[in-house]
Amino acid sequence: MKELPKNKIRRSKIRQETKFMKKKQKKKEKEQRKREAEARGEDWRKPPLTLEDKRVQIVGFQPEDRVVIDYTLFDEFSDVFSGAVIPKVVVVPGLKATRMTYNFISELLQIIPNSVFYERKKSSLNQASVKAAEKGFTDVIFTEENRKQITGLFHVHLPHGPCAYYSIRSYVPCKKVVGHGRSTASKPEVILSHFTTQLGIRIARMLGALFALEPEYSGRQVVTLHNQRDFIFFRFHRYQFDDRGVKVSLQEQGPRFTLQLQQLTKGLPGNDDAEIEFRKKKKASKYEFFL
Amino acid sequence: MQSDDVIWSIVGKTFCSFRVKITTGNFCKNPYNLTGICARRYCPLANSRYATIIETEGDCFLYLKTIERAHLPNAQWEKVKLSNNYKKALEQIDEKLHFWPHYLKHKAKQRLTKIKQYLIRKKRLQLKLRSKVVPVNNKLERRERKKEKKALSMSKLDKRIEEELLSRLRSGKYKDIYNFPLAQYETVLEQDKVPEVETMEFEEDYESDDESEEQWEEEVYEASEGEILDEQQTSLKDIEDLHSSTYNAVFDEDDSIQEEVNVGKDPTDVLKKRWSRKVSKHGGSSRATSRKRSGRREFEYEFEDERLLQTTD
Repeated sequence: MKELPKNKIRRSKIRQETKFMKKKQKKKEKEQRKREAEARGEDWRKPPLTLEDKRVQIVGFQPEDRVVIDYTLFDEFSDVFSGAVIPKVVVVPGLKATRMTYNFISELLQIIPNSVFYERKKSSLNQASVKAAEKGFTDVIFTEENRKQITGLFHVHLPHGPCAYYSIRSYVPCKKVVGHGRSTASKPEVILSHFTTQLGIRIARMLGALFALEPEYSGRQVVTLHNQRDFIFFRFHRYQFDDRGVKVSLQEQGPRFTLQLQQLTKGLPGNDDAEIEFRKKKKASKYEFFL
Repeated sequence: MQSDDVIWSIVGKTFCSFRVKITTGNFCKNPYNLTGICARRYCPLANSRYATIIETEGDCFLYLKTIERAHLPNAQWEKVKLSNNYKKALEQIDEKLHFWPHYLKHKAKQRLTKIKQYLIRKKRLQLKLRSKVVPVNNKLERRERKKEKKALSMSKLDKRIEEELLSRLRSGKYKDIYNFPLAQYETVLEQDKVPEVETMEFEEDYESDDESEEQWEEEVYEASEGEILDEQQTSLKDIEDLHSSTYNAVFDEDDSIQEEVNVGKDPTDVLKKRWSRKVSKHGGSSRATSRKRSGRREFEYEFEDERLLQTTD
């Protein structure tokens, strides 16, 4: 580096000048780039980098050809999707349930077709799910409440598992959704979108198995489970196509909440030796997504 | 050697490290104290004849002070294991403290009953289904909240849902429900500049005749019943009839289930019952109070202890 003069005023002057020149040069380059891009007919701005672009590749990552409801796949849910078994769901409250839980459950019962409410009656998760399997249910959902807020959800697929535990965040009941509509009893269709990994597809199939009945399209209701950065957003809409079939207008019916997968284990709950398929890390990389 | 009066004159009158002074009285923190009260009678230091009961891992022991071994604090206390049977244990105390002052015997028995009671309570609590208390890190939680917000804005949910629904409409999933004119469709598709593959799919689907529908229905039927039908034997009408019959069957079952729902309890009913019991006790909002608390909160998560469940069976 060239030595600067010892006089402070002169030194600062030189510095200002160099700074100014640098700026000028940069501007020139930028304009040059812009002109070249326009000549080629492109957008000269670079698209911003998102976390999705920087995503770490993990095993079983296949964003290209993903088929969420694949009828040829064989797993615990294939019976339900093939139509051999009609999905039947029980929703059971947690141990210390207050009015928040009961409101939440009544909302769930409206959304999930063919679903029933049962009381917990001090039975453990294992006891309750075994009993539900005996009664011929295909899924059990246990809710969890802490400090009068819905915080979690156990979802057990019957009769042989798996058991998933989600934490629920930012739950907004139907009434609080701005401009909400009223849902009807018709069976909704489901959109399971952006599940990119094998685990993600497994989770999507598990959640989709709740709604696996043939939807009533005339009801124009749609349940969306969209995965983004391991957050699964739940939304419930009513839609309407315009006269030409070009546009859709949506009206939210509520509730809305976000699921975050904490743990996925094989088998029914209450078994400590069960194989853990996934457990959420406390300190994971910023660019690592599993679903 | 051992002089009880001298010890009490020091310990009781001046200072004792085991003594706890509160407004209700003076208490003793010495583990060998029979009652926990600081008094001449119950002082384990200033009595050469002393007995106490101590519980270790569910078993009760009668501790007897042998003053001849006062110079060996390690061997000072003689341990006698009491029977698990409450009555037998009382008899044991009577036997061991036969010629001892009445108040010591009485207090020892009282202490034994108290210990037995809390042991029973402990066992019962363990058998009960409880939830586990787990700390929740507020800082992590805050971070997650931010991440969620960003993910939501990134997802562009409404746009995605609309696109998905339109693509479903174009792929002919809704069949006869909507009746949009074909010419307008094509113009719209040209305007939208949908990629070629998609338009091809659409055209195929739309131009498909009754035959393809027939095939589709067959597929549905096969999938639902899991049977293989011979194509030659069954005509279209038969298939339709079969399909409609299965459809009805599904609906019949549905009706029965809906009845169950109506018959079975409603979550709101349970709620009403509960609220009728505790009428309008809740004045302030609980949410506000929970927000005020800062630092580490604790949430309860359900868990089960396999061993305990087995014991209940």
